[in-house]
Amino acid sequence: MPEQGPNVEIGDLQRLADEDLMPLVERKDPAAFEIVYDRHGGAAYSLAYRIVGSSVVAEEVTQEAFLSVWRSGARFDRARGSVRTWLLGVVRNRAIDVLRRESGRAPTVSLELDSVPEQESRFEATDAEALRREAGREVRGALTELPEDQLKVVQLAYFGGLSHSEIAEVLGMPLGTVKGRMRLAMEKMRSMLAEGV
Amino acid sequence: MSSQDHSRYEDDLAAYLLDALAEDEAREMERHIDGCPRCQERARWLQASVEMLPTAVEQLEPPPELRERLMQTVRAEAAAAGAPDLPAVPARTRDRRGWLGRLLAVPRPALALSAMLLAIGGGLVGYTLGTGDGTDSTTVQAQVDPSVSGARATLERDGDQGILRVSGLPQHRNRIYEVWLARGEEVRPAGLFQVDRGGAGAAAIPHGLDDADQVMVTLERVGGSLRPTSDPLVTAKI
Repeated sequence: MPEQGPNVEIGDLQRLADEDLMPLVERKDPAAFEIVYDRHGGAAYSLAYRIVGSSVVAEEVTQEAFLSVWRSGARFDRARGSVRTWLLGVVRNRAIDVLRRESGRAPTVSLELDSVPEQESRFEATDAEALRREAGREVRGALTELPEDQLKVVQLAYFGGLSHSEIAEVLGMPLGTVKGRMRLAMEKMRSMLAEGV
Repeated sequence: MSSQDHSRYEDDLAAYLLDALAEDEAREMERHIDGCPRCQERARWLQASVEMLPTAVEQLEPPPELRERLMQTVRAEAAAAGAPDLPAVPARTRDRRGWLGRLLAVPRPALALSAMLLAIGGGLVGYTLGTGDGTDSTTVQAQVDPSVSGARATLERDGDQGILRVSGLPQHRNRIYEVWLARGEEVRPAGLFQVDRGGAGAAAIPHGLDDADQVMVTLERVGGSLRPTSDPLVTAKI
């Protein structure tokens, strides 16, 4: 094969949608995996950092998550959502596992959505990434419109890995109240999406 | 189901999607959703809210060393497992596929024979299977937990690498089978796999068998775990 062959083929791969890359990852194609990482590694690392609060641990979590994807790419089921959603779910599960293991139980979770400084100057974002970052800013703005008590229970669950009964204990409120706030928050967030956030 | 019972599930749906239910509650919710079109529709609708949350996180640049380490590992494992038959792979690489790659690529008569021998032999452990290309592999029949009666599992080993094949394991939604390599008290993750509707599945173990004394399989949540969170369903002693 000519030397330039693989480069041309990688260019072809880059035009594929995530969902079409995953079967190649499943067949152990490193080039396909590399493209998936390049598209979603930043979001994965950022989510891991948001949960564990340490760059070193976030790096370990991201590495373990992507390796688990590489070693079992067949787990992705396109009927159940996008590759990005699935990948970030894998990262979140790993990060929460680490939190629980290292704290003996979960966690002191920051309740500030924008507690991590954005590193605009060092991040050479692609167009797609820039769009995602802009969308992220809009979503953060929208979330601040949620009542604080509702936002808090959602954050403790999603970023802190706490169960509803643990949240009830931490916040000193009845379980039914926690469930109700979760439901109201999720419904409001969904309505914001419907309104174009 | 009474409307009161159904309302209980509706109340818990947001917590379920946020992964905030206890393990047994989550499994019960999954069983309910499977049979309830109304909750399926509502879960799909609310799922978009969960997907907003990682979007709201400030975006950071991952360290370049992370990408380098990942790609080094991935390329090494691809080479060890045998490169796939993909147009993107140069022919000379495809020709270097190893034992494991060939095993994964095609069902061979020798393996069908091995399965038959295993069925006849019952508790036969550790017999040798010729691969026909000058190398030998060993197939070990694994012990299966009685809770999954009817399931079978074999570990086909070639030196440091191998492949674990299972049949008759139940298929789970939102759960994944995870393979572990154990040496004494030390346990480390070695991969994840799912089974098809018939309960059959396989997991490649590209390396690590030389340093392990048994291979185990547990049921874990999607994404796998760093430590087993349940008792082993399959145990193959090396």
